[in-house]
Amino acid sequence: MPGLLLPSIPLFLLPSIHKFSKTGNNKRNAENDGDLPMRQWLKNRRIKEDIQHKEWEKSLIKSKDFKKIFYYNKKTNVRFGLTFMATLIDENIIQDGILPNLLEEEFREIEDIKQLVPVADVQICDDPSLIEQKLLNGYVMLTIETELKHFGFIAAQKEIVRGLSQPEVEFSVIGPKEAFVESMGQNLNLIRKRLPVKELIIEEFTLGSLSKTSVAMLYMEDITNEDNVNTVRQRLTNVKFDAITDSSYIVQLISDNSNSPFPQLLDTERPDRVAGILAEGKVAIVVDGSPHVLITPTTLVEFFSSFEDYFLNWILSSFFRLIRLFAVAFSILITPIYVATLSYHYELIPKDLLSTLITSRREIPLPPILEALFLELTIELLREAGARLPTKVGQTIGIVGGIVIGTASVEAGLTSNVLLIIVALAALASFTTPVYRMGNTIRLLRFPFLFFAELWGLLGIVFCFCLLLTHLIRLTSLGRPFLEPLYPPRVMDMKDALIRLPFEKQSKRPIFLRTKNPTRFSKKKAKEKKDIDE
Amino acid sequence: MKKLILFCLVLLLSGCVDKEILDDINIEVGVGYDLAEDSKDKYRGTVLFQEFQPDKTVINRTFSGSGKLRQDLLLEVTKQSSEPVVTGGLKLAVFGPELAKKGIYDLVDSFQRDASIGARVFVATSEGKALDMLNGEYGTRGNSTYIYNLIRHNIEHRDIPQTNLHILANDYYQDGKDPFLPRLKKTAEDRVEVVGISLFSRDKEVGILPVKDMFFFKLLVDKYSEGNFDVKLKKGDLAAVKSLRSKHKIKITDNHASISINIEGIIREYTGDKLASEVVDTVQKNLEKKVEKESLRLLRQFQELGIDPVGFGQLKKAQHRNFDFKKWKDDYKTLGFDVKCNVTIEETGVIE
Repeated sequence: MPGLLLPSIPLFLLPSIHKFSKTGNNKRNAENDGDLPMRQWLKNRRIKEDIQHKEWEKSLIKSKDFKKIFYYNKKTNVRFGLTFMATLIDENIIQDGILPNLLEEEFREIEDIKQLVPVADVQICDDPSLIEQKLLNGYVMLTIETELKHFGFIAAQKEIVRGLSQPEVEFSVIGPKEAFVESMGQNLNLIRKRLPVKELIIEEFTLGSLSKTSVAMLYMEDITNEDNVNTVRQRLTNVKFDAITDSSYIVQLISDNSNSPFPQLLDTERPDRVAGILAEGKVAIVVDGSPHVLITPTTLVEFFSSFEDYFLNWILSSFFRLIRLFAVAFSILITPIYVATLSYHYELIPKDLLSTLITSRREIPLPPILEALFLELTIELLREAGARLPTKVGQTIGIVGGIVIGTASVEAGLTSNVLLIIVALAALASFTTPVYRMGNTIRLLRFPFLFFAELWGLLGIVFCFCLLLTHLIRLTSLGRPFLEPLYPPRVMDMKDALIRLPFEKQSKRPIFLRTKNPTRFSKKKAKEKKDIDE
Repeated sequence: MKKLILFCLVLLLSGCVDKEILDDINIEVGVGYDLAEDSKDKYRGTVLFQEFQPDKTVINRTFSGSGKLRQDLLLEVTKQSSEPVVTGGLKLAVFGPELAKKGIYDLVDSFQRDASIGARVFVATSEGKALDMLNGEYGTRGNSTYIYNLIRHNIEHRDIPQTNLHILANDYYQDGKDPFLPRLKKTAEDRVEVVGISLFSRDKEVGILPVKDMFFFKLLVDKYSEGNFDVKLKKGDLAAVKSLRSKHKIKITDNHASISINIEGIIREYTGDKLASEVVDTVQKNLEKKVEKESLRLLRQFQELGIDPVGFGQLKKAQHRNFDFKKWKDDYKTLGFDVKCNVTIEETGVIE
């Protein structure tokens, strides 16, 4: 049983060598005098020890950026080595901060680096299993010949960070213009700056067997429901995946129903939005390397609320939210209704509209469904092409596609101009969704509706709507109902759902979050008149 | 497995639905029925279609056929039409004079049974053949739209009481009420006008109400929201009362019905010198008197004809337990009436 034997050797050796190296350090001069057998014995031991060390080195040494350099201290003549990955560390830190001190000052043992090295993050440990991870996280490892069981780690990460820029997906004219970047440290800074209280807890996880991505879970200690926090923690620790390169991976890995076209975690690139929802009692997940922070638990209506709604007067923002909801319904349903009505329900068409529809369709060789599919696919192609092409070419394609292809297909008699207007409007309406991820879902939803409209007419649309509703009712986000406050009906939560009531009316946190402290502020105190008002 | 079955059902069941693509069908928008000339129990039907031209004009196209059932007509028409004929767009049904006297309900019943025909189809009778009526060239939006709009705005603003297929069927099936229909006449190749109201007993036309009585008729059976009436004054002066709103209330006791009619309106035109408040009072009084007199005359006329378009029987039935309709038929003949009218002139325009 080699597996059992192998660990037993270091276990047996460890204490003895440890002791010996300590004494050896003290009797250094005596050894030099020439106790030959003793030295030979020590050397043999050292070689064995070296081989053990080399286990982690074996694969690292194949990489070109693995560096191991030895130096001698000028005063004590101690030989020490620096091991690091050249691509991960900032060489300036070694040159200016570490080496001059280690070479010039009196440096005898590892403990001394805490005095000598002017770097904040300096660690000393004796667990060789940490070496690999530390090296790959951008630490410089310091070893001294005389202290083989101790290693010093000095942080010298090279940070290549994109500067803060304006939010691109969730741009708002009013309000802050900062957006998250790819570095987690920077992102956490943006959030903490907005919530400078001790209750904001940041828990960190390392996920991905290869990518070792840092993932942080943020919540407010006295507000957020313990169950929600535990669920997120459990789901995150249970993630089994090798490389997590973006928060979108986490969305798919930890969502309640991964077969649903609906995103069950809201992603945002606005730090103000994250601060806002943390105060409401939700949980945020920050993933290193991703400029999108996840928000959970969330509801369907939240996907149709833009954070700009909170910057505008409540009447305006309520109106815009309703417009957005209408736009979604319009975008999903209008083409299927066109197909259903024209194929099955001519009775429903008002007599004044009849002439318009019939004259526009008179020369069209395709049945309404093919006509609609043709145009819908054209629009989808334009969108895909527009998204893949460089910005400037993309704009041209948009104009060329929209005007030229549309007009040409009408003139060629492939589609009716009424449908062209309808499809263009539907495409426009689908862009009003503030969350891009939901916009994609809406794009997709149109097609099953079209399919059923072709099969059964309006009955099919109703049937498909029932399917959609069933799916939505069954959907949960972190175990909380996704359709709340519409179903289950929660009148209290309606204050910030389809419409947004003024802030005075928002004194309670959302019910469905079951927060520990459901009150945001005391309504009574807010209403109290100050002396000066009287 | 369940989902697979469901999916198969979705696909298979789609075969059960008939497709009627808008531009591949011929939508019947108007229909006219006349009695056939040769045999007495057959009728001749005319179906009106609209053909939309690319320059937005409408061509009226009519097909005729004869038969005993409405289905026969559809069969005949389908033989002549290039596309399948569908009935869901029907807006107007016109019955010729002989047919109206003979009874229309067999045909109206077929409209009722056809689920694709709406309840708000206008049914009318015609003076002259229905075929000729549908064959004209009225307006630019098609004959059926023209006549439909003609009837509709006359209901909304003028003297035709509310009527449509639903009300017709309701009146027909209800004991103690008789239906009535607007009566139209083609006066020129491009002109149609309302010439009165056809009064029915069950489904047979028994009388025609001339245009001059339509105002009083509507006061009795319907309410005005925007009416018009000219009141004659003594010295030959005329006052036009506009924006009439009316309501009627009927109280029915054992052998007597008292009707109170309430009219509100404004004077828009006056041909005399000065519209003093005494004149306004006279207008009110004259109008009251006229309404009371004419209404009473109409009610008597109905009584003589043995019809009940106002629906006294139905009213009485609603108020009395164990209502005996057979007895009511006799009672109606001796029913006494009194009409009380109250007119309020609210304003007389901006010039005093």
